[in-house]
Formats: sequence, C-alpha cells, structure tokens
Amino acid sequence: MAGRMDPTIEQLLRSLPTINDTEATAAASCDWPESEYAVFAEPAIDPWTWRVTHDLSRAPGLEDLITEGAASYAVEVLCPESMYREVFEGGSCVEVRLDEHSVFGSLLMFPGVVTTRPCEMDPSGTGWEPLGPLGVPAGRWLAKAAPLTVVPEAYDPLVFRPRPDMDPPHRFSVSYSLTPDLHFVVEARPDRIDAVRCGNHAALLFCWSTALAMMPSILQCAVEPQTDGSVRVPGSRMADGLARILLSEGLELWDDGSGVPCDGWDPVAAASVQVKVPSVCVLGEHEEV
Amino acid sequence: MTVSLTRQPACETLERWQRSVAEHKFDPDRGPEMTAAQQRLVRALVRCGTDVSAVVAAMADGDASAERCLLDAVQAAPVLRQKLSPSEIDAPRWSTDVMIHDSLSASGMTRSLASDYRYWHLVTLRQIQAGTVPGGDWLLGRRLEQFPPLPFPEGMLSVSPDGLSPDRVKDLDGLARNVLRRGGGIWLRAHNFRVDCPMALAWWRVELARRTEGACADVTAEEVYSEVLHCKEWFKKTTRSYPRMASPNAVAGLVIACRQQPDASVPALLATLARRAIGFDADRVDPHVLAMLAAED
Repeated sequence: MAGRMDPTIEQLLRSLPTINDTEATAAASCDWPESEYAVFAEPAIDPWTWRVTHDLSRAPGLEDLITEGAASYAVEVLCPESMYREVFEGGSCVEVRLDEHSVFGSLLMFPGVVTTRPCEMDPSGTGWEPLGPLGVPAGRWLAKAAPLTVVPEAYDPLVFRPRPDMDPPHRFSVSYSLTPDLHFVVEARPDRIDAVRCGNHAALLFCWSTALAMMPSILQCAVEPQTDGSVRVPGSRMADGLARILLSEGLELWDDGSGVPCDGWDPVAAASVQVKVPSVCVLGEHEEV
Repeated sequence: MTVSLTRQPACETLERWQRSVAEHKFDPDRGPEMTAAQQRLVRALVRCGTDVSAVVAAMADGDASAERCLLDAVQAAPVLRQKLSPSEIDAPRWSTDVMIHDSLSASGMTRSLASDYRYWHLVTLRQIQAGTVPGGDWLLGRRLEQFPPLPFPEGMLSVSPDGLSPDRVKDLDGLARNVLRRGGGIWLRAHNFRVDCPMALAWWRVELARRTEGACADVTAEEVYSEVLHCKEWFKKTTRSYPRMASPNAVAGLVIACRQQPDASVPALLATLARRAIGFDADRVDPHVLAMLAAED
C-alpha cells in the first residue's frame, strides 16, 4: 500500500472548494466568499417525515453542478442509537421520510450538496481558480450545513387524564382535543385510569372504539381523496397517519371525501388495529397476537 | 402510531427502578436503601427457576399497577424457539446467534425496539419465564452447577444492610451491576448495552452482518460477523464516535481491510477509515476502495 495512491483515492481525499458549516466557527470553510447557504427543516403532516429546504446562492461552481445533475441537494440522516444511516436526495426541498421501526431516540440531520456522478467543477471565484476545472468523484460532499438534531415526537393519540373528583367514582369519559393536534382524552379516577392504561386490553379497546366513533363528526378529520388513489387528511397529522394505517389494513375510513359519514365505518375494527387484544396462552408458550 | 400498551410504561418503570439499584459510582457511605434494593433483586434471582414474579415485584417496588404492567409487558415480549445453555450464550457462534436473531425478529423485534436497553430486560425476563435461558443463575453469572450461585454467603441477602461489612456491600453492588448489564444494559452506560447484554449482542451482530452482505457481493454475513462484529470496541466506537461507519458499505470495506491486513486491529482500521472518509458519502464508494483507505500510508 505504501507509496502508491489509487487515482480514485486521490480524488476522494483531494482538497476541493467547499462550503462547510459543520465545524466550529473558526474552522468553518466557505470557499465562495460571497455565497450563502441556509437550510430549514420542518415536520410534514406525517410524524416521520420532514421537509428540508436548501437555499444556496452565489456559489456558481456548485450551482452549475446541481443544474447539470452532477450534484444534488441531500440530507444525511444518522440515528446513532439504532445504528441507522441514510442519505435522502432531492431538489431544493428534500423530503426525509423515515421508517419508525428503524430509528430510536434523537436523529441527526446533515443537509448538504453531494456529487451524484464523476464530474468536473469550475472553481472560479475560489482559491482553486488557477488550477482550472477540477475532477470530482461521485459521493463528495461539496457543501454541508450545520447539523440539525431532531427528536421525533412521542406523540400519543390517546391520553389518560386522572380526575380525582370524577363523580360517580366508576365513571369514565372520552372526549377529544385539537391542540396541538387531534387526540383523545380518557378521564376517570386515578385508580381506574391506571387499571386501563397498564394492561387491561379490553378496556383500552373500548376507549379506542369510543374515541374513533367520533371521527365522522370532527371537522378536522375530513378526508380528501388524491388523484393517485391515496387519501390525505390535511386537518390533522394524527388522522392522516391513522387513515394510512387503516387503508393498509383493508378497512374503510370514517369519511369517503364526500362529507357524508361512511356506512362502512367500523370504529371497533379500527380500534382493534390499535389495540391487539392477546389470546389467552399457557405460560411458557408463545403465540402471535 | 400504534399505542404501545404496556411496553412504554414498563420501560419507564424499569428505568426508574434501575436508578434506585445502581448509581454512577459506588459510594461506600451511601444509605441502606440502595443496598436493600440490591439484596431484593439478587434474592429474587437466586433459584427463581422460571418464576420471574419476585424479580418483577422487586422492579415494581410496591406499586401494584406497575407490577401488573411489567408482567404483561414481559408476557408480550418475544420468545426464542430453542433453549440456550450458558455456554451457548456466553461463547456465541454464528448458528446460535442466527437462531436468536430470527426467533426474536419473527416475533416482532425491530431495530427500533432492539435499540432500547430497557426492552432487552423485558426480553431477558421472558426467556427466563419461558425456560429458554438458564434462569436467574445465568444472570448472576453462575457458570456451572457445582459452583455456588453467589460469590458470598446467601444469608447475606437477608440481613439488614446496616449489618453488612463495607466489602460485602461492594461485592453485592458489583453483582447487581453485572445483573443489570447482562439482563439488557445498565442505565448509566445505556449506550453500551449491545456489548453488555449477550442476547442483544447476538441480535445486532446478525442484523448488521446480513445488511452488510447485501451491500457487497464479495463479503458474506458470516465473515462480517467473525471479522468485524466480534469486536466490542467496534460497537462502542460506531455508536459514540463514528456513527457513519455502521453503514453496510463502510462495514464491508472494513471486512475487506481486515482480510487484507490480518495483523491490524479492527479499532485501528475503523479509526483510520472514519477519519479519511469524512469528506464523502461512503455508501457511494466501492468497499474495496474503502478498504484501501482504511490502511495507513
């Protein structure tokens, strides 16, 4: 190995003009002095989707590569706790859509610009200008914005609220709230709340059934069919996600988009998607539920 | 989106309980409460057989609904399809670890669940309950039948904590910490759970090995398992310092580097590759090139 550099390795390691905002201020680099690179991330309606918008200007060498298709805006997502890594590419608005079963804990998002194929960069306006066009291999990060830390919301669509003064003591009530997004609130005396929350599947199924029976009457849950055959519920992220799950299970939704509640809406069936009541099994045996 | 019925409250209970059983650094002048909690845990494990109710009761610390919740969560955890002997757990082989991975994954283990050290405690208790692992003695570190279950007289677990000598308190503390590590991981080093908990390590080794095999035709899952993923330092470093190096392509590059440089250590190759790969997306580079990058000039 010593003494020989494979040309590909040389290109991988060679110094190139970059915009690098990931280091501490003193070490950050911006080889196009006039350039500006800003990134903004916002959650989409689906709780596991974010939209990351890139705004790059006055870095002509970089912008040309993007226009030619030789480079792309991208977001590298790392989840150290689940050892997950993926790079999402796109236009100036990159959609990051994660599989909730692959990640755990907080996520790091590194937005940037990465080359998608071997290409030549025009270094005009940078200190590399005298060298002329620079060969760049695929996979080189030419711009990196400051990383974003994202903590997926531990959003619970069913919330239990103890009411010590609930009268009579055995009473339960289920209502809904729209702040910050649609969720259902089960109230009862504290000792009864715990009995439901911590393992009484049948009671939990009942709470969900009651909650979901309200869906047709909640304005924010109006379903909008899409041209590609899918549906959206723009009024509520929770309802939008729920609609997706129910459709994947082959269940009818509470609303077919006409504004009229569907005859086929079965809140108990929908609740059983959320609450899988286990069968009775002998200790030591394992059954799928 | 699906509500985690008992798992989340059970995990929260476990985490709270762990904080009452182990502190950051052993303090010989601490009060008796922590020692009493450790005695209760070890007492529950000694000869518990397949009955984990005393262990769960110790974890719930008198809270009846939390205890019910924990028992339900344990019952809902996946079960191995074959029994394991102590040597199979502590001296792993590819075939055994594949069985562990595939059994648990077939019953719903996901990467997300497998990243939660608290969930591994539920899984471990379920195996003890189902008889697929050798019970509390295994957690206590007892290797062979002829050895006593504890490194100190069993009567020590029943006396008042104030009646224990400082050395015995320390012995008990060490044992309790080992139990927590082996069972799923200890809260104050939660990021190390993969190397501390044998079952978690088995699952993750196979999971990552198979993903790497898919990334490079030149590398088999079994080779990944034995060349790189046997190294606990690799897990520690990729989790804490070099998370990018867990990507399948990077792991494949490391495997090839190990093949080409059998005298080099995995941590050294990993550190070199991580340092040199900082400016590019390792998933777009041929693993053979990454292997060359992992070699120092």
